[in-house]
Amino acid sequence: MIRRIVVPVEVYRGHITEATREALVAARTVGNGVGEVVAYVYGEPPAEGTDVLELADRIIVLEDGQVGTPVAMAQAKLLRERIASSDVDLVLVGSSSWGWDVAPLLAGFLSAPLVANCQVIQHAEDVLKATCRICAGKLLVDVEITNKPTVILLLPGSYAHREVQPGKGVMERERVPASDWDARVEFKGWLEPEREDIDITQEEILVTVGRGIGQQENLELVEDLAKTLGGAVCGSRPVVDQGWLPPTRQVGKSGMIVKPKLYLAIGISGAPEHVEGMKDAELIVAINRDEQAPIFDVAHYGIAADLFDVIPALKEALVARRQEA
Amino acid sequence: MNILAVVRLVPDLVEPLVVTAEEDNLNWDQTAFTLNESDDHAVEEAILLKEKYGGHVSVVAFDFGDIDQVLYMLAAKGVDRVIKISWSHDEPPNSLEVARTLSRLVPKLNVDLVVIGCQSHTEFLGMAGPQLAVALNWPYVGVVRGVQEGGTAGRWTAFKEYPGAVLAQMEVSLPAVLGILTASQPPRYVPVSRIRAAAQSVRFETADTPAEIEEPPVKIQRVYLPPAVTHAEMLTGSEAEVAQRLVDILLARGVLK
Repeated sequence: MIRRIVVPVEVYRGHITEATREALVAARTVGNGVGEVVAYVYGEPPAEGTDVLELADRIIVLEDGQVGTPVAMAQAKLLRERIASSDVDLVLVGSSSWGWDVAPLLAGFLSAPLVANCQVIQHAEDVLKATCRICAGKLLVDVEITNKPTVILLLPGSYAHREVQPGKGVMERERVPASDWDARVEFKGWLEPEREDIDITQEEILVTVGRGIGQQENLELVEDLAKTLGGAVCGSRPVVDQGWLPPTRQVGKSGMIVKPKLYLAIGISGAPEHVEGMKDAELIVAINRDEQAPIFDVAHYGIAADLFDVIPALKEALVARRQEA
Repeated sequence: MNILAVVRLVPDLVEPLVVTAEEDNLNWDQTAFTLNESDDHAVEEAILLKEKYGGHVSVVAFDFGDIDQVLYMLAAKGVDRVIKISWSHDEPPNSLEVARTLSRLVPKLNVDLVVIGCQSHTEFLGMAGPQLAVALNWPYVGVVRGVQEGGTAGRWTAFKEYPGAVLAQMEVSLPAVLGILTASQPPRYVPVSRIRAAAQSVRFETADTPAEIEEPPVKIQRVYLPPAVTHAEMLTGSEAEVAQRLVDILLARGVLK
């Protein structure tokens, strides 16, 4: 039986993150109304959007001068004793930049297992199982979890659309002694990116390139196609990490969330992190020579072919259409 | 400033993944490996820091697969010291093994900063960087996109990436472990001639690892390829035919006017 599930709450620039909401939804689903769901909030909860906390049975607000600053290591450490001493079976952490630090650090502090990239957790007949999606979504692993507590880092989107009943939503407050705060890492502030001429979140047509483009010189082909379509070029993480496109052109959970009329995905495999950033586009068309690429699971139309063959043909067809018109 | 960069080989996702008949692991004999991308960025960031502020860069890797070729390439880029950890198993070390082994090695190396890729696409039971930091009792910041000197009280500044290309400016006391997502600049290219020269001159130092593999803390039941669930309507035919069909769809959906 699940006794207690803990969810560390991430507040990012004044709002509780979607990743945290997913973790709370997962906790309610796995707890199945029996296990108590405890949410730990670092610092005073934000003024708005806190209804998501009602998914928890208990909301414990940790109070101190620095506790609300986004320092994952210090925040994870604050939970070590609280979790170790309170019959916690699971710690669920949402997938985000913060969660990617908190989950493994907390697992380390607790000497507990970490199960990351988890897309499904099943609890039946007192056996806890999880399915993890790794290798950019190309491989699944089923695991059985026997250790308590275990820390689980969820895959983005795993529990986004589930309907669950709210919890009891009882709020408690705990003062954290200043000496408990690990001050070896200090948050100094946010740095905004340099804005470009193009804001991809506002574009109606996006042509997105992934690793399949091969090399920077090939971007010209895609830029040419985007121009013909009247759209803008953006990219997945590998393309941005290579410096071929600026970070403001990156689509994905950690990049920009886009909802264009047309999302033309070229040479993109469809890793979960990327899909989270574009799945709500009105029309998704994917070109990838790998018929098994996960992007075809989210696309409306797919072309399993070499992009270097399809792009010139598509441009030609578009130009011919324009001339006819 | 003495920096240690950790590099790992991971399955090359450009090649098909093959699972064993028992569905208990990847078939390592049929798996092509490549340098973990964020580890490549970690090495680049280490070299950039050395070039900017001085110091010394060491690289450590497990002796698995074609790691020598990777290490020659990194030596050609400007790494000063290369350490190979013995590894005689058929499969690469898991994250816990990496963290456990390095937590014994790092204290012997007089290191100020460990940089390691903040992710590897096979990591799901543990994450090497943060778990190494916990084992060493050093501070950790992950998902880092660039590092620089110049924090208050001798600290260094790591830029942690958040959505929308926003960066959090984090000051970190040394010694520390940083999980690098991307370097301040893309990894540099080195010509083959320099790699060949490095292969002639570089001397590997060796380190031992415990003989027994650390068992994963959860029971792996099944490893498998996702079922082919293609929701997309696939357009087939010649390139010209699929292109024309797509143009027709875009017109019908009102995307093209």
